[in-house]
Amino acid sequence: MKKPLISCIIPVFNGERYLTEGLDSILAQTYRPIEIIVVDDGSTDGTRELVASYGDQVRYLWQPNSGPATARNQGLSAASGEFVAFLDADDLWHPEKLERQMARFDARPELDLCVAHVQNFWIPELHEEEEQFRNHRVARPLPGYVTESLLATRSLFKAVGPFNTALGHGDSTEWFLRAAEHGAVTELLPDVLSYRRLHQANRSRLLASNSRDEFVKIVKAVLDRRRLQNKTKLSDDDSEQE
Amino acid sequence: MQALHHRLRPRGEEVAAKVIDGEAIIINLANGIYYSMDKVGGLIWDLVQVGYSLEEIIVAVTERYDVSRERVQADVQELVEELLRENLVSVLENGASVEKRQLEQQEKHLYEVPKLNIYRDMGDLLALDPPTPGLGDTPWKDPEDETPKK
Repeated sequence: MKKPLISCIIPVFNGERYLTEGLDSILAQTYRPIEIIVVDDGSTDGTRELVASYGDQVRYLWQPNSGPATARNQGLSAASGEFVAFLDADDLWHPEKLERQMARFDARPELDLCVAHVQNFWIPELHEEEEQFRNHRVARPLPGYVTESLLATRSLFKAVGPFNTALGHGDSTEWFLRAAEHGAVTELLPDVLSYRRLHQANRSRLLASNSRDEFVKIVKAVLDRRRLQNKTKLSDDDSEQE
Repeated sequence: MQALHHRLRPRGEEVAAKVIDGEAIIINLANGIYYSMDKVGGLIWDLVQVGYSLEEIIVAVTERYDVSRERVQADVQELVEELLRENLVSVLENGASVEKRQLEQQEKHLYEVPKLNIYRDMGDLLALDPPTPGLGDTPWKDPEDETPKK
């Protein structure tokens, strides 16, 4: 039987420093067929040339700088795979990431999305910080409800909708919350299949102060939607009784 | 039971909170548990954030709602114990007084017991990517975690 195509989407903004490693970790996947789509979020460094050096193996899209959520959505629109996966330009995949996750979709045809554990790792320049956090939770594998661990059917994105481009940091969490509300069938693998590089310029560090407010608003919206649903459900039940 | 001149302070590093449309949304970033309180509860959290003492909160609630002071005092004390149990606030025994808000409403609203709604379905979702102010201040704590030294 023909194996389904997986579209691998990488949003990147000035990512030339680590992008080669990321792309190579996709090309090293034991699973085929794949298509690789890099969405350049208005980089001003050598990202374009770097991607060009991969020739036909990597598709290159460009957009004016508008954030990773918009870039991921553009990647989704261009994707032709039955499945989609995401990698951030500074992160890495385990060589068997796609294969092990696809095996779950084979075993469970009802599955909508599969995530795995993520291991943080520090760049050599942050060795001191790494030492500081040696026995801390962030140094251990964590459940990866984040895009770099996600493999999902593309049809799930049609049902749940794209990433919320109004959010600067919480777009990934907000999407997972919406997927859960939608009732997406989800599996979390115990395996570490993605590695997240911690460096000085991590977006989550730069945007941390805004993101607290953003999270509170995301949670409020989730609760509002849930209550509205319950209300609609209750009034539906009422009308059934009439 | 807390003395009435005590003030509460939201645990800044680990707790993100805001009152939106009269509803307090509170997230414990350390474990992903989130909370909501509307109506009287939303007002109380708002006043906690502003820095009101328990006494001042009780007075403000009694002014706005059709309810006896005794009832409010008992409910506020109970709510405070719950906020402390959930690790959302700490107690300031000798906080400074803050400017009071003027009451504009004419009629008193119908009182409802303030209720802290607790949601525990988001723990895993926030595990990897909690919105924290830099790793050095990271509040992700497990009982077995060693506190990072700065």
